[in-house]
Formats: sequence, C-alpha cells, structure tokens
Amino acid sequence: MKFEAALKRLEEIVGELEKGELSLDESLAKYEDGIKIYRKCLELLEGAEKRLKIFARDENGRLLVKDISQVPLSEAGNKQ
Amino acid sequence: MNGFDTITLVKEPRHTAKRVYTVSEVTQKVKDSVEREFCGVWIGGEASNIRRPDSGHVYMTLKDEGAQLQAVMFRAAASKIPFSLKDGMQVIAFGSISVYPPRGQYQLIIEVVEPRGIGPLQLAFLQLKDRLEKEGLFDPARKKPLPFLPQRVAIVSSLSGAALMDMLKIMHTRSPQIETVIYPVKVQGDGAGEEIALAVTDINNNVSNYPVDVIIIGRGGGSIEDLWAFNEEVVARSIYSSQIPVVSAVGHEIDFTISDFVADMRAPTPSAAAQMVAPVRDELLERVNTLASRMRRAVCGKLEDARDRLLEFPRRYGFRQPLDMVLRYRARVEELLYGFSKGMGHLLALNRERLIGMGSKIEGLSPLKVLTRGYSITTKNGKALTTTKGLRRGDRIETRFHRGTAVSVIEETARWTNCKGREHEV
Repeated sequence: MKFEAALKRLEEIVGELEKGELSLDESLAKYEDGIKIYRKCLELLEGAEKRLKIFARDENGRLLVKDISQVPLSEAGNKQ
Repeated sequence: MNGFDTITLVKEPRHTAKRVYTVSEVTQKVKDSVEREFCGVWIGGEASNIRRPDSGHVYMTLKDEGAQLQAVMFRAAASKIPFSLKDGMQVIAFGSISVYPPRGQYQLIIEVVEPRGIGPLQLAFLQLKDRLEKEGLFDPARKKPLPFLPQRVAIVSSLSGAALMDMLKIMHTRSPQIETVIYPVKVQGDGAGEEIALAVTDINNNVSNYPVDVIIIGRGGGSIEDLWAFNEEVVARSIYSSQIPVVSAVGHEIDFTISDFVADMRAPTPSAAAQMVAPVRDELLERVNTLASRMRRAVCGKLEDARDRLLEFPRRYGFRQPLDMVLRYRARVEELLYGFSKGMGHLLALNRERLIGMGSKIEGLSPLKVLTRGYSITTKNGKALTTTKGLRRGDRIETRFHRGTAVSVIEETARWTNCKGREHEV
C-alpha cells in the first residue's frame, strides 16, 4: 500500500472509531487494522537512512546501480 | 568597357595591340577579385526557394527588391542551424562568395544563418515550443501526479554542478529515508541533450530491476546557450515517453525551457524541485502519530464503556457467582486502558491477541449471552431499563428472554435496594 492511501485509510478508521457507533468487537477489529496501517506508515517513513546511489555502466555497457562511494567521481564523469 | 567599345575594337584591324584574355583567364580574375572582396561577410535578405536534397546540403536564394543571390549551406553547417529555416524568413547570412568557373556562376557559401530581429536560439525555442504544443506534448491531461511520498528519486544532472549538491542536501534534510540515485550527465555542450534523453530512457527501461518513483532533471542557472540542452527535441520526447513522473528544474525562476513544458511538473529551481519531491518526514510522522493516538483514545472510550458494563453486572443483577471472573476481566481491561492512556502503541500491538480475546470475552458477558442463563432484558420503547425510575402504572414494557419476548403492563413499581441495604443510585 502506498503511503498516501495508507494515511487516508487510517484517517477513515479514526473517523469511524470516533463516531462511536461500532460494537466493542468491531472497534477492536478496526483498531487492529488501524495499528497495522499505522505500522505500515511508520515503516515507510522510518526506513533507514539511505546511502546515495549512482547509475554506472559495466564493461558491457549494462546499466548498474552502485553506492556513490564505490565510484570515483572522475570516472563517473566530472562533467559540466 | 561597354558593348559599344567592344564593337569598335572588333572593327579595328590592329590585332597585335590587343590584350586578349581567355575565358578561363577572365573568369579566374573575376573569381580572385570577387572571392577576395567577399570573403567572410554578412549579407541580409529574404530566404526563398529553399531546397534540401538528400545530400544534407541546403540550397536557397537570398533576395531583396532588386537582386537575387544563389546560396548553399553545406551539410555540416546546415546541421547546426538550431531553428527551422523557412521560405520568406528575413535572415542574415555569414559566408563567402564563391565563383565556379566551369559554369561561370557564383554563389554564396553560407556558414551561419540567423533570423533577423530575434536570436537564433530564441527563434528555435519558439518554433519547437509551437510545434510540440500542437502535437500535444504539453497536454495537461497527460501530466502524471508526483508521488506523495516517493521511496526512490533519480536525479539526472551534472555531478559537478552546485545544483546537484543543493538538491541532495534538501532531500536529505527533509526526507532522509528516501533513496536518491544520481544519473550523471553533461548538462551543456555538444551531446548534452542526447545524454539527458538517454538517462531518462535508461531509468524507465530499468524499472523492473530498480524501480524509481520520480525523476528530477535539471541544472543551475546560465545563459540560453548553457541551458540549451533542455530545449532540445530529443529531451522533450524522452520526457514525454517517460512512465515515471518527471520534474524539470532548469536554471532560475525566470528561465523557461521546453523540458519545463513537457515535464509533469516544472520546478522554478533545482532546490524547489527537491522540496516538491521530498515531504518533511517529521511532519508526516507527527500526523500519523496523532491519528494513532486518536484511534487509541476512541478504543479507550469503548473499553471504558465495557468496564462500566462489567461493573454494572453484579449490581444490576445481584449475581455473585461470576463476580470474580468479572473482576478479573475488569483488571485486564484496566491494564489495557493503562497501556492505551500511556500511549504505548507498540506494547499494545503486542497485546493485540489478548485484546482481541478480551473483546470476545467481554461480548460473551453481554446481556444476550447472559439470557441463556435465565436472565432477561426489559426494555421500554427499545431502551433497556436499568431502573424503575420513570416507570408509571400502565406503561408497556417488553421483556426479552433467551428465546422469545413478552409484553407486560406495569401494575406498580418499587425502588430497588442493593445488598448493603442502600438505595441504588441511578
């Protein structure tokens, strides 16, 4: 699920719970869903800090993705 | 020398005194003097009768009210005209007059041609913009929305540009969890447009191996020549074909390029592009955390209701047998409530199974289940009665048993007292 959709779903769940028209069972089930979505949101937001990547080509000209630290800047093309 | 003199000369018999040029000699003299005189000159006129054979050379006639001049642009020079040269256009051409002796003709060999009154690049820009717009490349309906929270962003730019550093810094500050991947390209000079276009195409073709949510193409400010690559058709086409949303971030706010018009989003500067693409992570965190605590509070309210109901049971029905059980559940409800009010979402999630179990147990104690044990529920107008207060003689009440219901009419009412003899507070 994409973050935006998850956020929207979470808002809906909160809305339904706050209306207070659900039975306890339904509330708890919704809450369980809500917590799952909440965790998904956190997962999307809190992913570990990413390392900077760079596209490069191997000797056969195939496109690769490398950590930027693996590629000397001069080789990557210090172009303007 | 005029025609009359020539005729006179012909009539004169003194041949030995005459200087006779061969055709080649005179032509060579014309060639020498004309080519010396008109070497590297600017000539203004209207371009007409433009022809473009397969050789790649461009032939045309420059003309004004009084004269015509045949002209040619050889392939190498012609391929460098940034705009599209059209019949009727007022131009200035730089080149040299060349005489071709075998045909006794002369023509202008053009090295550079420019439109009159407007810069060649400006004209090229306007022409291409017009053409691509008519073709539908700028259609707002085709523009893709940017992802709300991208996981991965590709930046197509020069590694040595300050623009790239600015973008990386801003993205990292706002959203350090986003993975940024750089596709290094030349952003100006020969071949820059092709490199940028190839980068956009490559990233698109590689999505199955390495998905990218949004592409930023851009560079810092510069002259129209510096920014020119972003006005090239090949770049426009690559953006148009991209399945991944593209943000164009070229130069300063006042600079508009063709890529800005084709892209799904134009950013006034590279820094602005980084801001558009990367939301502030902490703000979103706060938003979801607020939702989570509201959710918690709402369920907390439900649990409090359940607790109250548990408390009501022994008082309302005066049964003692399940009291211990009820108190035990109550203790767990309290425990859960404590967790909720402390906002310990994670702990709570661990308690999830228990929580759900609790839910069914509490429901198990609901009046409907109790009915199977011989209790009944009495309602008036659909509302459960917990007190005789408000009941009058002659009121109709309905009693629901485990199986079936009965309607009764009140004869008389009495206040109920609890086991300690105190009047029950309603």
